[in-house]
This record gives sequence, C-alpha cells and structure tokens, in this order.
Amino acid sequence: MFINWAQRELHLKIVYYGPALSGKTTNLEYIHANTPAHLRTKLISLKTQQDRTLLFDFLQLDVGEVANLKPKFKLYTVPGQMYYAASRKIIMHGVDGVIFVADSQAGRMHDNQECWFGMEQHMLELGLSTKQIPITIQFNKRDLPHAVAVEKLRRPFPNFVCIEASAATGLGVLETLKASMKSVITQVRAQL
Amino acid sequence: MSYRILIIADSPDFLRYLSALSAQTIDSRPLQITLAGSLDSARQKLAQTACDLLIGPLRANNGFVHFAEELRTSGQSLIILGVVAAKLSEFERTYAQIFCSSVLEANTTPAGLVATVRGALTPAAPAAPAVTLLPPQHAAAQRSAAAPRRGSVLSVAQIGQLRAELARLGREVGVRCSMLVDLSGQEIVHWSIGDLDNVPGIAALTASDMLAALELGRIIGGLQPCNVIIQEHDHQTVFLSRVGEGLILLLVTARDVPLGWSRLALRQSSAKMQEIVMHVVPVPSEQPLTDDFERQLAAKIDTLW
Repeated sequence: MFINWAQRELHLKIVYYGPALSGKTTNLEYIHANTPAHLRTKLISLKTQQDRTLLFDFLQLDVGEVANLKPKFKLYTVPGQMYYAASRKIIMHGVDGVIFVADSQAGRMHDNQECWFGMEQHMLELGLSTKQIPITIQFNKRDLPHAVAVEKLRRPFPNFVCIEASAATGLGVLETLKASMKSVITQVRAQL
Repeated sequence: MSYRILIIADSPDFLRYLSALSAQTIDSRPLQITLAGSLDSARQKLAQTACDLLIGPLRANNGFVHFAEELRTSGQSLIILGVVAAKLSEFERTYAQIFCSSVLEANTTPAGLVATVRGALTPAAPAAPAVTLLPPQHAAAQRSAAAPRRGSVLSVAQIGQLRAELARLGREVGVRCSMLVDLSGQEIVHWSIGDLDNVPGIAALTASDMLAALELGRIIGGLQPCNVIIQEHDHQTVFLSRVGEGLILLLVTARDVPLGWSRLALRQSSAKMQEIVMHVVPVPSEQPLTDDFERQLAAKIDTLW
C-alpha cells in the first residue's frame, strides 16, 4: 500500500496467485477487455515464446475519486510453473491482497495444494501471513466436465471467501475481483 | 554505558560468523561481548548479568528455540537474534521460518522481546551474517519502517521534497526521466521531460527488474545485494538504483552522459532521498480512511462493471 497524500492517491496491490494454467492471465485479460479504457492502463505481459507468463502480467485499475481520495488497484499475476518460484516471490513484495486461482479439475488438486503451500512459504519469507493478507479464492474452470464438487474444493479453505468462476467465459471473474478489492480496503483501514 | 551482548558460540564456525560484530558499536556505545559455550552456560550467565542482545545459532533440535521461548515468557527485555548458517537443508529452512514466524508474533506480547532472524530464509547465507543491532525500542520502530505495507505513507512535504530532488537531477545532470518507486512496484514520485506513458507499468517493471537482480544475486551466492543496474540502450542509459532498503530510483539519461557522472549523481541523490523518506509518518496528518470512504468505495466498485 502506498498513500500519496499530495495527489490524494491510495495505491493497492492485488496478486493473482495459483498453479500453472489455472487461468490467472485469463482473469486479467478479461478484466482488461471489460473495463473502460479511461479506468485502466495497458496490460503489460512478460511472456515466454510459448505464451506462458515469465515474470508477471500487470494492469492498473483507476476507480475514480471516492471521498476525496483516488484509489488505484494494481493487479499482478505470478508465473504458475513450479520452476518460476523465485519470480513468484518477487511479485509478492508489498502485496495487499491475494486472489488464489485454483483449478477445479480433478487432476489438479495436488497442484492447487502445492501452490498454496508455496504461497504460504513466500509470504512467510516476506514477513506476511495468510491471516494478515486478505485472500479470495477463485475456483476456476467450473465449466469443464471433470470439475470437482465445490464442497470438496472448499474443504481446505474453511475461512476464506470462495467464488466459482470460468475465466474463459468471464463468469465469476469480476465478482472475484470485487470481493478482493473490498476485503483489501477493509484490511488496509484496519491497519492504518 | 556499554551494550551487553551474550553470544552462544557452540562451534568455531559460528564464532567466526559473528567475529565481525566485535568491531561494531551501537548508539556510539562500545560492545561488551560475553561468550557462552552452551545453552546451560548462557542461562547461568544471564542469571548473573542482564544483557541487551542474545545471539545464538538457530538450528534444528539444538534447543535454541526453547531457550528463546523460555526468555520470552520470563518477561526479560532483550533482543534475541537467531543466526542461521549457510547451506541449510529444506527442513532447517522450514524450521527457521516457523521460528521466525512464532517469534514475530511474540513481539506483540507484554514481554516486549524482539527477535530478528536475518538470513534465515537465505539458502546461501553470506559468510558474515547481515545483522542490524538496535535497542529494543528502536528495533520495533525499524521493523515497522522497513515493512513495505506501512513504510510508504509519506507526507505532502516529503513528496514535494522528493519531486524537487528529481527535478534538480533533470536540470543539473541531464536526466530525461526519473522515478522513485517502492519494492512493491508503487510509483511514489516521478519527473520527466514531456509526458510519460504508462507510469504504473514503468514502476511495476522497475521494481521487478531490481528485485529479480537481487534474487539472482542471492541465488548465485552474492555476498552483498546489488545496488545499481545499468542498462545501455541505443540512445539512452537506464539506471536502477536502490535507495535505502525499500525504494528504487530509476534514472534515464542520454547515452552521451558519462556513466561515472551519472553514478555519482545517483549516489548523492539516493542519500538525499533516503534522508527525506527516513522520517516515516506513522499516522498521516491528513484524515485517514474512514467508514464513509469504505462504504462509498464498495458502492463504486459494485457499479464499475
């Protein structure tokens, strides 16, 4: 978080975290495509030649003026592949909120879990914890035939806000973002 | 009055790691270092003479954590520093992290203990550990100032001073564009000849570039964190320089500006900026976020899409 009192701007950072191919970049692309140009920046994507996220995707949302302050949300994705762990940690610096994008497919449960543990470890290394940073969980790819039942997906995350989504069609993408933005503001207020 | 340090040095290697400490002073006070060869010996020495700082080796199953916990609950006021040796196993690293996490929580207890584990999360820790020695009250203040979530609340006057410094660089050093960002990629202030396209994007890339270089250095075993990155492009030179622990200064000059000149200006400017931002504003003088703000923002978010 950064407050620029001179410009009356409140800058907040939300990171989309999750296993490889869970749909983090798709979330950001959908948000970019469905937000009026005057409310967002260009989408910056640092990708490999195979079109996989190398370092991050980045997009800033400008909410406009609220009570004499201008909140700006910076949205980042992390690279999902296991061997980009160092890059993922870099992006978590100064995070205000996390959207954990879990893949709903039956064969990806282990990846989700491993990625969650990795995220916890990165947060710990940065002096943060999952209790301190609001985390919104998105169960993505609900439209796929092998999607696991939501009740089963929710079980490891009893205390988190969980939202079903299908980022490819846009279902649940904005709902997830809205929930995260609100929880970030609540948390930041409590900390100030 | 000397600053009393008790070191539990149960191996020659550990003692060597800490030898650098003997040359340091804290608040201009000389150090009075006492060595203990074991935890039992440390317990006895502590019973005889109080100390300000306890340094010990943080390893799995060597009892240091229990000892720290024992001191924490005893209500003694001292800083505990657990030092982790190089080349930790995965298990020891996790262990150190858990320790770090539990002791950080302990900071909030009335016992007032502060424990710092530097290098605990670094698989290839430097030969001499990077330690910051501060009295307890200062340690807490420093921790909150260094934390990116709280340290970036700057006053209007501070922002104005930073902007003036960037403008000076533009006038006197031939800088085309400069920007101060924090490690999380938030732009704090910028200055440029003409309009700058996508400022938030530049800030995000600046922070990531510097953090990637720092992480690379750490992984390949660099002893000191990288301070400056220089990129030579066709028509311009880009400098990324660390300002203190939490900020990065981006400078863009024409290619014909001598590197030495730019580096000197960077160093001087970084020192000035560090001085400006050192005075963290713990509670902004302006009205903080209110209930009303939260309500209005929630309503606005709902109508955005």
